[in-house]
Amino acid sequence: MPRLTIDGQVIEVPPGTKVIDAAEALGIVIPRLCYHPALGPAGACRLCAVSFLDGPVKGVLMSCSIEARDGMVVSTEHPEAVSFRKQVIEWLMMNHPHDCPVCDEGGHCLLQEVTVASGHCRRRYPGPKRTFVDQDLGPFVQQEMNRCIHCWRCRRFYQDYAGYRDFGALGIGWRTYFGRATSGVLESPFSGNLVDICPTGALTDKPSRFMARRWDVERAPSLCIHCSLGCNVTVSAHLREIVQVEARYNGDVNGHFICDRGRYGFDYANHPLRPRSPAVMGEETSWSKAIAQAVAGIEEVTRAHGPKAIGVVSSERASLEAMVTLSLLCEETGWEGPAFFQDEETLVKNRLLAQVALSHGIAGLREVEKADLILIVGTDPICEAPLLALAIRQAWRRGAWVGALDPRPIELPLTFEQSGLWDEELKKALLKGAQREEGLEEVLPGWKEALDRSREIVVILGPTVVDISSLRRCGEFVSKLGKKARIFPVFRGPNSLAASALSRESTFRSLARKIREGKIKALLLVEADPFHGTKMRGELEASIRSLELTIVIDYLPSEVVKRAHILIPSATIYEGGGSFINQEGRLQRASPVHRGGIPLRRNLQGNLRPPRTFAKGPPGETAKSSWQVLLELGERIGKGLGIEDKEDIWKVARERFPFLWQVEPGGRISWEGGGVQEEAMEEEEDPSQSSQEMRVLLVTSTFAGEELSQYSSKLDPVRNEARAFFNEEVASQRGLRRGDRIWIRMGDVRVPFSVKTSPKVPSKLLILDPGNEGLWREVREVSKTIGWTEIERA
Amino acid sequence: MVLLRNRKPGRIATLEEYKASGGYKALERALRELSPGDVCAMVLESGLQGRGGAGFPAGRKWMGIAPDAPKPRYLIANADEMEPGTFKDRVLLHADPHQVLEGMLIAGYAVGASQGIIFVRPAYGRIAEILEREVELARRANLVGPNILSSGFSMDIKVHRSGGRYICGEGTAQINAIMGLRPHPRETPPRTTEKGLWSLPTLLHNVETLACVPHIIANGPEWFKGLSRSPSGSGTKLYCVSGAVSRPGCYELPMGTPLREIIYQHGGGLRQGRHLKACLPGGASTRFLSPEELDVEMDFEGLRRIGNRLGTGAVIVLDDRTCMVKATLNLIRFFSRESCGWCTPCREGLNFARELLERLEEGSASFDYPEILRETARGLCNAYCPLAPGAAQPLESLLDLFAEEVMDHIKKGGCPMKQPGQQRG
Ligand SMILES: Cc1cc2nc3c(=O)[nH]c(=O)nc-3n(C[C@H](O)[C@H](O)[C@H](O)COP(=O)(O)O)c2cc1C
Ligand code: SF4
Ligand code: SF4
Ligand code: SF4
Ligand code: FES
Repeated sequence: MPRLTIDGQVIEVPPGTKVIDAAEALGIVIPRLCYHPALGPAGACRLCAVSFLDGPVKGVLMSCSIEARDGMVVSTEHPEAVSFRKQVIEWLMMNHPHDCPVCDEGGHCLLQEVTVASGHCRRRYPGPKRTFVDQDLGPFVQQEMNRCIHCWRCRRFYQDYAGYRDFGALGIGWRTYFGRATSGVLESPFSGNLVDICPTGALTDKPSRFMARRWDVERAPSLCIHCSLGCNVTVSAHLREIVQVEARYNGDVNGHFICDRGRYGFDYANHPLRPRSPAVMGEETSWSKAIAQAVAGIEEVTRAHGPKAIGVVSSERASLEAMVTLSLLCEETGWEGPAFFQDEETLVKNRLLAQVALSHGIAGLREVEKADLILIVGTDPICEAPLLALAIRQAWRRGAWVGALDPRPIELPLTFEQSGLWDEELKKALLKGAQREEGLEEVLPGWKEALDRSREIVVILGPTVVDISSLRRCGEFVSKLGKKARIFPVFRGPNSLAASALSRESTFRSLARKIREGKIKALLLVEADPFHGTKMRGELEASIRSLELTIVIDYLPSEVVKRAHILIPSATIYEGGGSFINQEGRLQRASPVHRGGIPLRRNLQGNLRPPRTFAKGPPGETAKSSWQVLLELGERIGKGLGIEDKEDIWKVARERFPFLWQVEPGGRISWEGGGVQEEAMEEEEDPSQSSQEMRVLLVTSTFAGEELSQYSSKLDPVRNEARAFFNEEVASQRGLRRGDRIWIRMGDVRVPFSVKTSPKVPSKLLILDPGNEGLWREVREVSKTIGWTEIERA
Repeated sequence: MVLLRNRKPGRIATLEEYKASGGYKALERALRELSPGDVCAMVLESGLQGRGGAGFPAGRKWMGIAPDAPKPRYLIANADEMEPGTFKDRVLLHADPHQVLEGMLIAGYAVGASQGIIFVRPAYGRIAEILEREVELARRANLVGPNILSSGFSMDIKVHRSGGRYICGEGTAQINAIMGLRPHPRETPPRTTEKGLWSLPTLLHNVETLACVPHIIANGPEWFKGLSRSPSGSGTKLYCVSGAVSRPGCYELPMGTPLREIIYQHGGGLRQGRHLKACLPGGASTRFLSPEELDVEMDFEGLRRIGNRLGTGAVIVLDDRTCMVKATLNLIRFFSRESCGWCTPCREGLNFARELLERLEEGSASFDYPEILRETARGLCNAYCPLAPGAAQPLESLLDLFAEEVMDHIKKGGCPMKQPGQQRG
């Protein structure tokens, strides 16, 4: 371990540590602009210069580029180094527009910080300032090139780290320009990170532009709940409105970055139609009245039909606090549920996936980055867990081999092998893989060689397109690979793993069956919308309509909210905080960011500041976290749980669900999975085997299909249209080409699609991505198979 | 004359002519009689130093590619030649392209390269065409391609046309450019001999360096050393003489020929009635040299001794009517325009210097300019690659040698050399 002296202090650091980091370990922060821990040294800005007085190198050199070595004597305060650093600042400020008062970076700008620290205050450069013409980079990133100090971070992130090419450096010398060949929407779903990574106001957040000064916002550490990865974020609120989400560093989870869905999906919390006040039969009412009505309704149904006539539904996006409270409440009352999943198959798949992953050693994003062989089975990373794609890319950049078994035409910012298998073929391939080491070579050329030289394997496995027996095959397959293999499960929701662990046998489908049989008369829906992504809208509609009582507790203006007899608004993660268990079993907590309330309109006509009112609080801030509402309900019906606050929930839960609670927040749970009763599941016959019909596979995409972000207007500009993916050959036989518009008839409605073709799509499969979900509102039932007679050219 | 022995007015030496002058004998000898190690040893012994500007010993560079280093390996012949005042590579390639090809093949054999690339400046489009044609002829003669002269050694040669920027001449930037990336230099280590093109071992040389190789193999290292006039040098050197001399041109002379001789004897001295004011001894990235230093031996060591550099050996002569501020401004304009934009000192600092020089020349300068310029020049030396430190050389020597002239510009409100009524420009 090299020992060196920095400013008179001796430190020993691991080999390979850069001098800048060694200094930081001593509490000496050397100024820097281009160096970023995720991107490594660039040596471009030259601001981190220090004096090497003795040792293997001498002179003024860049501390970000030089590795600490034995015997180095470094001075960060040597006059030569200090005056050179001042000179660098002078150079960088030569062309800077000095427009800090109208710059959104102001107040958290690294350039401001280092400029002030350097004492630079006199302008000696006599020339005219360089100016650039800005581009429109789309809805997320605001460019202001005149503020750019050419640290190259943006290009290094966008092209090298993330692997997209449409944004980069143009021109040369002092006219070097960071942008696109022409104005246009940035193609990368990670483009928002440019905002975080740019140390100046050259690239800032467009949706929150001019909304607040940094020192006026309310900020708190939070979590992203737009997929199962649980990326860490910092959320800013201003005037009761969530204005910005930024990546928050967590070395165990997301590192420095997040995806654009996570960054711009927050706007559901500001939705103009968001339920803000309790309502009974659509009429706004007071809290006490709504609760009283709910209690009366529950008591009436219980009196008439018993507690089993009340079904309880929640979802994978509910917080752990809500899930636990709900589970305890159901036990206490004897209500049916809670159901966290749509149907039996989904439940079993989720439990099985959790079990398979937990028993093989579960992998998170860090393990993916370190892997040298990555096999993706039934997952489309960019669509289902966007940041995973960046982690895979980092492994690939270090030389990892990547292969995918999935019928969708997967796109990743890297080179990989894919075989469009699913169903029987997938099962067969996995079986072969489980039997013989090189079994996958046939479908994934290069597999065997990669396997032979691999030391750490990660199999990424998702439950959406893979069926139950394939999931199990995959488990066997991974056992065969032995100790060096781990499973990275991808779930649908932010709290799916907890939902799997807390689930009993109830699912929404089983409750719906009981509604039809007349056994269930009332539903309590807690942060759940059964209409989201449903294939059986007609049936669902009828079931809900037949209920005597529907109580909905939610913060989304969802479809079921519109049909609620009693609506009780709940707080979002931003107002209430909450705990979530991510895909690798990590328990994480979000803090509340602000009190909430109806956002103020900002129209610069005198009502920018909160109006003076004499009410107790701002309008619309009354929402409570769903678990609080549930406790109150329980109390009122005489089934108190003896819980007062969050701490109590955790105390109780620790005893009742030890597998979930033996960890401190931030750690991984020790649940081994279990309780999978697959016998109950009968596998469906493949109906397309004999016919001309294609089987339908419903999928989601990055910006369309995830429940919360569906309600975020910030993402509207990048949402894709509805797409139908055909096998290339099949499509061309039918005269269809990429980009063609078609109608697909489903029941009595026709849904428009844009045609996509790929040789990877199996010939008997039709993959439908509903895109903007609105188009599906009229489809009563999504067909399981579709024949060519139902498809026509638009 | 060694390198230019086949030089003819208006056309190249053909393959036959080259062979007739003993060409490709050295290659044959190397392939038949010498091991790659022997070839390396001979080049090391010959004392051959890189002619691209830095003067790094070629043999030491070759030894940097270990026999067990990964394959394939690459060899790049640098014919980017954008250093102001430098045109020796053009003359050399127009005179005798096969000499360079033979040098590449021998070097390739010595380091185990299987692919050679000639990186040609776009202004030299004609040269690129000639090279492509001659490589094809050599291929037909089994001198390039698989199993060369039935020796079992194979090496192909391709011509790569540069996008055309000065920085593309810098070795690591050139490698990036060939890979289709932006031509940014890269910090060493790792050296390009370890991780060069596509992260594989790559030997990169100026074409003049490579042209020396066949002669070393054919005549032996001692002979090559003996060609030099100075004990510290070896071989001959293509000196380019330009500027205020009466016979500008490219002259092949023994390494270490005194500068005075190069200017007055070969370059024909200054034009009628003019006197030498200063000269740049090795292209734009060297310090101005004063008339008192004219007796310097023009080799790497000789110039190092007087705090200067041989660079490319391109002597740019400035006479007594030249404004040194303007001459420096001209150079700094070039460097500022050609900065790759990667690092702050070069991208911003050069432009700062340019603005100040511009104002000095125009007459709107203030008295603190020389000090700011000096600070700037010092700061340029902390840049990422040698371009900016190179640019600092003339700037710093302007302030050292011509402080009075600079001060005059400030005091007199503009360039004192400008004739009354003369146009600004
Ligand atoms: C800014 C810059 C430009 C350069 N341009 C050239 C060039 O045009 N031709 C050349 O041969 N070397 C050029 N060099 C030197 C090369 O980096 C490299 O040292 C040389 O080509 C190595 O060959 P040699 O060992 O034969 O000298 C340049 C260096 C710098 C820093
Ligand atoms: S736009 Fe920002 S990140 Fe990119 S080079 Fe300029 S200052 Fe750096
Ligand atoms: S990858 Fe998932 S958790 Fe991370 S920011 Fe994107 S949506 Fe959120
Ligand atoms: S000194 Fe810096 S900006 Fe100039 S060419 Fe070299 S790397 Fe590029
Ligand atoms: S931080 Fe070291 S050069 Fe920019």
